[in-house]
Amino acid sequence: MTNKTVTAPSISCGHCVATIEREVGELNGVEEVKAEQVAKTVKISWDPDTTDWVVIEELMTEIGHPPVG
Amino acid sequence: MTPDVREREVVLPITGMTCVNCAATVERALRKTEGVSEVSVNFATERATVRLTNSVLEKADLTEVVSRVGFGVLEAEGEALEDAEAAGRRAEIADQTKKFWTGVAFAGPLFVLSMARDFALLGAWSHAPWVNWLMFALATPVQFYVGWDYYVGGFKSLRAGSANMDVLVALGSSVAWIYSVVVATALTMGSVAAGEHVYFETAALIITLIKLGKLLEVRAKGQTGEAIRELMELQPDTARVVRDGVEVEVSLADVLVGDLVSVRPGGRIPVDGMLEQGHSTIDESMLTGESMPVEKGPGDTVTGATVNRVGAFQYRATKVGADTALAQVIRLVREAQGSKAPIQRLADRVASVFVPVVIGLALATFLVWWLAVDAGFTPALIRMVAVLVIACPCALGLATPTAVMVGTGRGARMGILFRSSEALERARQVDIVVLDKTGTVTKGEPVVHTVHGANGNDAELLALAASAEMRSEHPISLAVLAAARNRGLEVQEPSSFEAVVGRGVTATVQGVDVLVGSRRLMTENGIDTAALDPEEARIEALAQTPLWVAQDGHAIGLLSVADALKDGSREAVGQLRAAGLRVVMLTGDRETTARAVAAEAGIDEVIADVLPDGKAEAIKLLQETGVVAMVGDGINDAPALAQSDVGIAIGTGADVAMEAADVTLMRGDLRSVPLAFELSRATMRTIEQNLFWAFFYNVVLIPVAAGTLYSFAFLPMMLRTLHPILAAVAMAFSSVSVVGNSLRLRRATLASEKTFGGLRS
Repeated sequence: MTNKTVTAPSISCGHCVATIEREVGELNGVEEVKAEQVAKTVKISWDPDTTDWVVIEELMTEIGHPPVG
Repeated sequence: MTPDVREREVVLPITGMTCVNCAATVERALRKTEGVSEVSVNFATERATVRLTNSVLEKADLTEVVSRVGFGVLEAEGEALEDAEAAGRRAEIADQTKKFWTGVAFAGPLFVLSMARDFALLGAWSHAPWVNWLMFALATPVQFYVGWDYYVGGFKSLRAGSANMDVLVALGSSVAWIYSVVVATALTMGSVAAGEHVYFETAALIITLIKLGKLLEVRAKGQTGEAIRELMELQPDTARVVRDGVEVEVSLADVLVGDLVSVRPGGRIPVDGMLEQGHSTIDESMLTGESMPVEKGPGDTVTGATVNRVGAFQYRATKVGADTALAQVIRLVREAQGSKAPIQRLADRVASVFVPVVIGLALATFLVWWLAVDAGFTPALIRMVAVLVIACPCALGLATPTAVMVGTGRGARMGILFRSSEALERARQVDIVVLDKTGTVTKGEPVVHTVHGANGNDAELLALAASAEMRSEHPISLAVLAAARNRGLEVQEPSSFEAVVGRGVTATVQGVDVLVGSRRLMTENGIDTAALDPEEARIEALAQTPLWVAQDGHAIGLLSVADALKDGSREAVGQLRAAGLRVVMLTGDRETTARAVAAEAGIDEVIADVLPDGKAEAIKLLQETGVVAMVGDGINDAPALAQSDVGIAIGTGADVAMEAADVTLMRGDLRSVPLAFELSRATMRTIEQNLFWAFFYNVVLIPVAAGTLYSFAFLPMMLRTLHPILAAVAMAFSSVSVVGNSLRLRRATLASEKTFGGLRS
């Protein structure tokens, strides 16, 4: 299991949080996603055998919340 | 409905979007849907435009897609006009109405039954247990259905560490109800140990009467959502865009940054941009408040939602959708409306002191009777209950709404419309009054101030200028014409006339060539102005606009034109300052112009050179030093009106301003402002008196309930131990006192009204 916390500066409301958690959470191999509206952070836990950070990063960019750091 | 399988477009009104990311989310969700070929979601207009190709998708399918990602679609397009807030308000009124009438239906018969028994009209039935149980059946729905909101509200208040009116009502009525159930049970079993009287009707009446107050209150509550809708309607629905060299009409949401947009005379400008081809004058009054149209040529910026007057032009779109100036105003209004802190109601403040005191007194009563007097546990408990029951003032709920109703009614007759009861309450606390300049302190249109003929021939000069300007519709021309007519001068029809955009007019009046306009018009026609230059300097020093007049190639005089003070502005400022308020003028104009007007109106404090979006910010800064009222009339004032504690819109201004404001003055006269404050003070005074009367009878009866008169054997038994009839009498008297006192406000004397003749009509 791999964990990573990134910043998504585009998070501006509760809808954004819900969108990220829903979309990233649906990704095969992702175990847990927790987005914080105020801190603008996203904490993701995934199984490195099933998926890759690059895939998650790509998805976040696609849904309009590209991660930083 | 048979689905059309050819290509078609569906527009969905989306709800719940709070930021541009939301719009992107909705757009993405729809785009991924099979059968959808193109999607565009506009955050500012809250619309999704969906193009469907060879698809059997229906609106319901798209609605489902949208709701899956956490947003909603309004059912009918007509509904889009009504935001969620208005719908919520309607639902609350319906709910409160239903509860109130349920309360009346049960509490009415209950009251009759109870009174009949107290006055011994029930004969042998008086002591029959079933009468108590009938009362129980009537009181219980009132207690737990009609009164449910008080339990919820009271619980919330207690959790927040304070006791509001809801706590008092829930506590008083619950104690009465629970105690009555105990008494009824004991009496049924043949015991009078718990007491002989039930207080079911007291509980039910308190709840129903307070519900009446609540109903009056929600019906009087203002709406805030309208302002945003009005703003959105300023944008045209479509724009004419040049695509591949052809001018096509596209919907506003499809205009892209970089598009060349074509605007015709009289048309509204769709988005923000920079003018590329053509010249025109543009009416920007909705954004700047300035009534004088602005000249625009290539390189000048144009703003969406402003109105093109005369010329046709093409411009390059630089900002669309949520980035336009109008979208910014919408956002500012939204934010300001959301940030307004609710005021703590006076009734709640009183309750927060009263509730702990009553509970303390009730406990003291219990302890004294039980331990000091040694009257036994149950009788002591009965007295404690009696104190709690009698202390709950049922007229409390009527104290605020009845006074507010009469106060707003009185205001409406004077042309002052309070949009919410909170505005009426808050107006009293205002420390600082901010006045917008153009259209509020001043008339917002130019007026001729001075006429200066080079040879002292003022009347002749004015008549000549007016004749030359006769066919022009420019505000300055109209001012010159009006000035000539006011002085009874004869105005001649010019034989030829030409308006020179941005300069003035040239005309031939009875064979004489006349030029009226700016210095540039003079120099471009080779006219020597030297002799009159000092006069021009004098006019400019007063922050007025000089208007040159030339006859047959010679400058013959100067007129000065400026925005004139409204009647009553000076007097209103004087009244406000006399009442101890700080008066500040806020304007986007230059400091010198602003200072000149302020001095004339008697205002010392001026905040000038404020950008349109800076007004709300300026209000925010002032709010750090006190409660701020803002008076304005333009769309550019809307965010500031919404931001201020009491926004006051001049009724002759933009609808948006009125929607964003808390108070609307139907008369453009500023003297309505001190009057509005005075009315607020009078209403608040009435509310205070009402609260006194609401509590008075109950407070007087607390000692009776506590049993302090018990030892006086000569008194009737009713006074020695509390009888339910006393609770009923207290309720009746306090309600009548409160309503009567509120009605008195209709005829209360307001000092500023006297000085403001004709306002009554």
